[in-house]
Amino acid sequence: MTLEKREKITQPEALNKTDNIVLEVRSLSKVFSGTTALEDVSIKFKHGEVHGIVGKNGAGKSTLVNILSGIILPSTGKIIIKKNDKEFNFLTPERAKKEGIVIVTQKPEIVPDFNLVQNLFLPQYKETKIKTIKWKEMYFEAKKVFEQAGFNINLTRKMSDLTLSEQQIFLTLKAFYVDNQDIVILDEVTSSFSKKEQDFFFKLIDEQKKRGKSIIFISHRIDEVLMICDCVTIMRDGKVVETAERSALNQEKICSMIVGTENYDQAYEINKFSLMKRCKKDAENIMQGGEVLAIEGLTKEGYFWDINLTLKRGEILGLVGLVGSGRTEILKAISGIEPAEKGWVILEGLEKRKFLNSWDAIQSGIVYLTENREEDGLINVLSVLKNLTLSYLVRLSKDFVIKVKKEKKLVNELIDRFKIDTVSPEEEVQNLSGGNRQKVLFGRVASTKAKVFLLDEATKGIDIAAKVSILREIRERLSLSAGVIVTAPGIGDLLVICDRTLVLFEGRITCEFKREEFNELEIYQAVQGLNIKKTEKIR
Amino acid sequence: MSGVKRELQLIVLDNLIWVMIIFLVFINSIFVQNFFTYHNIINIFYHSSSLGLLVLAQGIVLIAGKLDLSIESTLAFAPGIAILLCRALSPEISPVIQIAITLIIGMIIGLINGMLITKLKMNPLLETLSANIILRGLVLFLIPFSITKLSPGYTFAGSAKTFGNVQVAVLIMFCIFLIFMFIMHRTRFGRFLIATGGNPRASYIAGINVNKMIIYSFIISGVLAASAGILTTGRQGLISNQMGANLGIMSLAGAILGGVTFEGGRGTVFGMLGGVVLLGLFDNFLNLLAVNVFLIAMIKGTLILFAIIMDSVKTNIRISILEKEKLKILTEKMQKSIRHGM
Repeated sequence: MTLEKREKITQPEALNKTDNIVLEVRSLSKVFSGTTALEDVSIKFKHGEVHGIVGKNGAGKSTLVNILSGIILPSTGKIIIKKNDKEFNFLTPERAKKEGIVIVTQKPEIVPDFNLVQNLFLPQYKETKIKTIKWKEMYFEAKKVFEQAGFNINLTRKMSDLTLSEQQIFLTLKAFYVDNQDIVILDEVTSSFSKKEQDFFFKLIDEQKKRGKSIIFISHRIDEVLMICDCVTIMRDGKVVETAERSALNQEKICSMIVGTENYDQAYEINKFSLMKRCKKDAENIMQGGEVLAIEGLTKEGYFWDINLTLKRGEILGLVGLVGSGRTEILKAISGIEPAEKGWVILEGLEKRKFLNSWDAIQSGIVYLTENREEDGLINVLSVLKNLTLSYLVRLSKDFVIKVKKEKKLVNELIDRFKIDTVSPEEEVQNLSGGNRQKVLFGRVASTKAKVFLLDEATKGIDIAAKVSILREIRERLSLSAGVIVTAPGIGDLLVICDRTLVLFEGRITCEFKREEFNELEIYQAVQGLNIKKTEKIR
Repeated sequence: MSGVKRELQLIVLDNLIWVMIIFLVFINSIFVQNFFTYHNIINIFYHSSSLGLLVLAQGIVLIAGKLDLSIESTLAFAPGIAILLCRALSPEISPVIQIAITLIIGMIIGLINGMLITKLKMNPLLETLSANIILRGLVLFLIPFSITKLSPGYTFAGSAKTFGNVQVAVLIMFCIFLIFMFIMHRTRFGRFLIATGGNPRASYIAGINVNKMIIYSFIISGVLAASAGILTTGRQGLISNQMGANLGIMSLAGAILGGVTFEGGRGTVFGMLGGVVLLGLFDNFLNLLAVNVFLIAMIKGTLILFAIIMDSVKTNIRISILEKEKLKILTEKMQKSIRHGM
């Protein structure tokens, strides 16, 4: 089928239906073991409309999107597709495609070594009768698509030569022109776009809207959502807070709806309270503690620029920002894992240094907890014991020989202290559950007796009980003798334990909140690049 | 009680190769004539001594997550070049220096392999494969005929016997295995090497100089291959240009039989020793039974296949044993809480 033919078939039908609704989810719920990811969600998506979905991490956006694209099955609820008046209890990826739903995700799904044409038509190539592929025809068709969209790019380039944002635009074009379905879901595709790419992208969306496509647009950036959406659904804690027309909304309103006021988990609330009370007591001690870390003019072109900060012994400093704001990159640069181009690290007020590899930094007392536990954190084939003592082994050994008894004692202590659920210290760490694996990784970092702990999303992907115990550990143990910098998936966690929070926006520190000025709404707005108080040079 | 049973099950699983060896020895002593004699047993060890060192060399590199196919040529290259060099320098060089030079040549080969693989990010399979061809080609060119009339000091390690007719080579092999058992189990270096093979990225972030570890593993492999060359030279009494041919693949077989995996991060020195002994046993009793040489190769190939199958079956059994244990603990806890509730 050529492109024009496909368009004729899919375009005009939905127009005649009542209310122009093309897709509806009705009281959809999803329960994962222990947690509720979606609770009684009902949304209607209209024909020829850009429908934005916003919310914090863990608000249920991705769960909803994954249900619509058939990757996960809902626990209860219905998905209604109006085109043929069909009702589904669940979708599979094939079914979703058949019913006209296509998704572009934040991680591009491509074959890196194929060129653009090969990728563009990927699941179904044009074939002749004897099953050879019509490359020429496909090439010209691809050229037509890109000319139509005004996206100038050499079609014979390899996919892996494209930047991440170019790949995202490419896949979006593919969804609109090649797959050519009625409903296109864009799941955080814009997070790495430059201004120019953003303009192009918005123009594209506008055109497609006029062609009668329904677009579901998920983003962390509220300004973008307000720029292109006709209708916005705000989600919090797995529920829909509100679905409203664009005209009835503004940035402040959305922010306050996203952040909300009440907190759901009582146990968490109680622990939070006790942690916060401690914080006030500790605040006085921090004032007396010396400066343990200072960063001067840290710069890595394309990631972050001119980062200056200081950290006192006993202080917990929060670093918040959107994905791509440079928080992980800054922590990795300080700890020498991916060194910065310019700038200095000063430990305990001594000489200016630059760490070019991880072992120098660890020996000097800077230790980093990775946010990517599975790939960068644990060594899956090794035992719990070997994983726990890996970073501390230098001090557990004398003349290269490990002091086995001392090591065993330490490991048993750590297993008790963090309540790691394992049959024996010799069990391979890959047999443990997610929360316990995070505890092992955290235990490794916590046992190093470092001067500076850089904890990148220490509470990622674990249940409430484990989260509280890790937060408690940071507050009550780690920060006693060291300075701690933390980032966390939600601002809420940072507010519980931090003494001070720095906000990152597009690779720069934009403002600072002291503990007494903490306000989740204000910080959330600052993370979005809103209402930035012009603070003098932050130190 | 159940804890003891579980421990026992796991110990048997982890040392499955030794269970197989005991079983084989038992069968052979009954059915094969002249097998279970003191002389024959010593003979098995003597003939697997140089392969043993190669298995160890390969195993160390595999544990670090890489692969070294060049060891079989290093085995001939290191002693060959060392002797040629010494003879060119002066006719009367002490054998101790000759041995030292041999080991240094092995070290340099390992160093070059390691540097190319870590610094230039070359694929270890392709790099060591080409190194293997280069070294073998050089050996064939430089040693058209065998080198004979070696000093007795140089051949001592491979040919001499000590008490009870036990060859020095056997003692050397066991000593080296013991040393590496200690290194891999009890030293920081061994731990870091295993971690590097298990997950290089995570090891780097945990503060391990990953590239250094990989280079060291190749240096160890080169030195061990050179030592294997000295033992082979001693056993044959000469240096031939075909020494070590086809032993590279057998070293892989031995290491994998011993529980080392291609993915890295797994395997013990004790297991590798088991792999060596098993290969030696097979060779020996098939010889005693006068099986055709080509059939022996086929049987060894089957053995490797079997080892790989065993490896995956083993991990599955291991996981199921641990899961049963967890379930038991959970049910006990629940029963307790029910009792308390009443």
